[in-house]
Amino acid sequence: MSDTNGPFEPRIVAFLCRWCSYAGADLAGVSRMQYPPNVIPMRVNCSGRVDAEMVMKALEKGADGVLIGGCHPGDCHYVSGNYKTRRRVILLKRALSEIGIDPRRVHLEWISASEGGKFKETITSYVELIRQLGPSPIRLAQAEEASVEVPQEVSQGAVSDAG
Amino acid sequence: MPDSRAKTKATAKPAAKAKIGVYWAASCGGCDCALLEVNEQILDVAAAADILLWPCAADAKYSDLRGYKNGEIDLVLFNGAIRTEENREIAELIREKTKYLAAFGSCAHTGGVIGLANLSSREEIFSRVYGAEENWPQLEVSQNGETLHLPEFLTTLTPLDAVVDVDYYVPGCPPPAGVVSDLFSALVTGDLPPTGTVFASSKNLCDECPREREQLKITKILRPHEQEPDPDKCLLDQGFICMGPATRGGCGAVCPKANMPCTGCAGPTANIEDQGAAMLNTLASLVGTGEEGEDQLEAEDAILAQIDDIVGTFYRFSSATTLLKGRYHERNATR
Amino acid sequence: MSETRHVSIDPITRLEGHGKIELFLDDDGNLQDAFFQIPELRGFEEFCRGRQGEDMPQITERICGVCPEAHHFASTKTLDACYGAEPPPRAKRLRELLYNAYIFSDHLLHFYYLGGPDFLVGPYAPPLERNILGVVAKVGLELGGEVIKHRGYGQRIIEIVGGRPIHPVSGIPGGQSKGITPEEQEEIRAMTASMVEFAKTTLEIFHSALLKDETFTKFVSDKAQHMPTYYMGLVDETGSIDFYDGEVRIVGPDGSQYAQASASEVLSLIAERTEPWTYVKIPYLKDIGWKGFEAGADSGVYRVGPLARVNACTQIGTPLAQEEYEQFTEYFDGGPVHATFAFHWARLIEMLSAAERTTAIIEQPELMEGPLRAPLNEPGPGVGVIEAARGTLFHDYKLDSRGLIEDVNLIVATTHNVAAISLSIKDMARSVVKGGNVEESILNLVEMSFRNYDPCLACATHALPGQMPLVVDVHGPDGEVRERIER
Repeated sequence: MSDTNGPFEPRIVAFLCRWCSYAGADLAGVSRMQYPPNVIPMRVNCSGRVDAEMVMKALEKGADGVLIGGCHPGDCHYVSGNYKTRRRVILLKRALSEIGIDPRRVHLEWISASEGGKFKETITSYVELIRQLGPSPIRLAQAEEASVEVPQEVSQGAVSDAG
Repeated sequence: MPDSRAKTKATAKPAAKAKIGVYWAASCGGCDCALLEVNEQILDVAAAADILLWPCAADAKYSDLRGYKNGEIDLVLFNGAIRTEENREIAELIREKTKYLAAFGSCAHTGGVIGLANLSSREEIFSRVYGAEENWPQLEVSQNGETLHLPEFLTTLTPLDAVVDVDYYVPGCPPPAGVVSDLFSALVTGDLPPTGTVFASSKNLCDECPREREQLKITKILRPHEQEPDPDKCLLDQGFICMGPATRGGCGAVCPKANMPCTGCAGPTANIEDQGAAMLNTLASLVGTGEEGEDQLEAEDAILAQIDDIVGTFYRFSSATTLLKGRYHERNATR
Repeated sequence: MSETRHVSIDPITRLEGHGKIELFLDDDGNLQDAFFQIPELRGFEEFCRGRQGEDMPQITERICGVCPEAHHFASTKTLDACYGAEPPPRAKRLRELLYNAYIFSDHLLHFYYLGGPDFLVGPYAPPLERNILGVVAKVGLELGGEVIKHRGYGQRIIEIVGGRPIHPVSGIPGGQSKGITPEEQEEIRAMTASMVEFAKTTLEIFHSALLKDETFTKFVSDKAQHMPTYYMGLVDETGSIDFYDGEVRIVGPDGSQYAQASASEVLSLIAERTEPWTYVKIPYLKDIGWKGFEAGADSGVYRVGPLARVNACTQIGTPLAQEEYEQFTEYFDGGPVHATFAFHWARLIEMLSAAERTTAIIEQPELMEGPLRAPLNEPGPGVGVIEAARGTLFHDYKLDSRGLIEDVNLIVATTHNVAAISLSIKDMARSVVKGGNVEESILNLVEMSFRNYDPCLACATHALPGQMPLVVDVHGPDGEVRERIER
């Protein structure tokens, strides 16, 4: 997904809850909305399923950013899973800050099943944000240890928008 | 990470007198003292085993260690983390000389409190300790025509199993007397358990804690000096951050019994990879006003903001074995 | 002509921590130079920053697992100061009870397990016998059992009062986290009475096995093992030794008072230097100055620990120990006592005194009633001082408005002794390393010189520049000091 040559292309893992945000992503696709290809979607039954370890694992495996999509407050299919996710993300962001990782590399967004447009906007702006932040320092540290190059040049991405 | 699944059956049944050793890497000496907490039982150990290495309490030197045959020692209890080149070198040497190697105590097991040093670079640590670079100790110094050596302070601290294969894990800071006693009994009777065994409970601390749990919502976070805890109720219920849910039991819950929260010294239970992350999850679930809803979000944020030191609280003993090790620096720090 | 040029004692043993001694011999096989190197560092002063202040007693006690109580309560007292909270009497008595039990236990450990075996078993005994097991074999299982049992008593008191026998948890700003029950008081009462008797027995053993044995007394009387230094220790308002609290008193080699002041005032009297061949830093009295590794009134080298405390006090403070102290000073024709091997005797005087103190404290009614915690004020800076078994221990914190550590300064007991230990090692090596003879028992004699101090090297490598000036000597290739850099 990312070039070993050329400018840095963010690698984003997105945990999307099945009932709302994944359906929203589907809607964006069916509606032929264009958004950057930098995201690996992972469907989970509920955003509440996403715990701190999963997010850390994604970062440890080289994700530059982790996006979590859940139902709007009050709409969670399992009643309150999304509230727990929200609190977890707050603590996790602080933990990441304390070890020197920009907390914006984890992002929580409420996206409903009917919000294809919101899905597209969220992805587009998040990819751009991560593009500006550059590769995750975790990924860079691992690459340094393995003596591998990671493109770091931050440039404007080209996104065609048909929507 | 350790787990309790057996790997291989231990075959070392000490014939005549067993040979054992104790070694400390980057250590405080507490684990060496913990071996004495069994009181008179130490004499049973001495009757059943020759102690071939124990720098704290006996006079064998590195030259003696090098002189032993490979596999000559039956069991070495190795405490302390791998902080310097000497720690690593001796760990590797000991691994050759012993049939079985136990990571004894929190530092050898998960890196211990001193793993928090990984949040700083070596340069930052040396600057703080010694000041300007010209004051820093050197690996090699010529003094009056003679050469003196110091071992390198490694850039990252690791637990023992990052540098050698480990056969047993004995968690705790230090391991409690009951655990040491069981270990010694096994040694004396020649009944060492299967390799891979972790000498602690496979359940979390809550399982043996005598406090009453009501599993209430945590409506405010308290630091231990802010309020005198109710001695009978669960500390988490009262709002004190207790690492019990994410920590192995087997210690008798002595800290909660002393009216202080568990700080996680025995490391995570077997199915947890990152102790701090597990505790973050738990706390996130428990924090709340009693109701959940969009109108509670601000109040929830206010409760979470009362936690002051995430790494020091949730990762006190396991920062060297968290999924995201060490400290990072963002290149494009634009905030 | 000797062939041997360089001998390493690596690692040094029967102490706490990592160390090695490098001996360099001249053409005749006599000592040319000796270096005491500490190859360990863990960096507490760095990673304590950002931590919650009230976590410091439990974090800093992991500097040392042989003397965790010292750090735990130096830290707790520092937090008392940071929060402007005077602990209520019940909390103070609990802390003192635990603390004196700790001193008893740690000194017992040294005499029977660490430094004592050199004399109890003998310095020329096979190395595998020079340890607690050799001691038990020598004195027999009954007495050996008493040794183990009484160390256990000290540890049990720490466990009851502090929550755990190693790395206790009960110290909080302004108080203690828990009290003791009447049953526990009863249990402790019985133990403390026995501890006094055992301390007396230990002194009897000292008198018969050491003081009447030329193996020991020759080191005591050997002028090469006398070091006239300054001495530092805590004293209370009567001039008695106080392990838990008091003012810091420093006396000169002639016994005259050099200073008596609070902890924070004393910190400004001390400077430090580094040497590139060791991870430890070397404190000295700033106004006297660093004159090299030498003793005397003109050298800023000073000592802490049992010998220093008995020299710095005007009386011990408890009756039985005071009697022993009077025998001690009579033996040496008055104080201060400079014979380094007298540390062993001073240590046992203190062991007895600590046991006596526990018998007094356990009877005090305020131990069992009243509040455990004082109300806290807003957090700020604070300094705490305590006498660890091995010497004076300072903790100095700056807390921010949330009670988090902004800055940390520690001077840890053994660090004060580093210069003196280096000097003792060199003096002993010069005496015993002759004609290239570096067999094992000779090297053990060199080690015995540092064992006097009961060093804790994990502790020693944690000391901060803080507000203390730092001085570095830059040596030229000929060894001469070319430049002195001062911060």
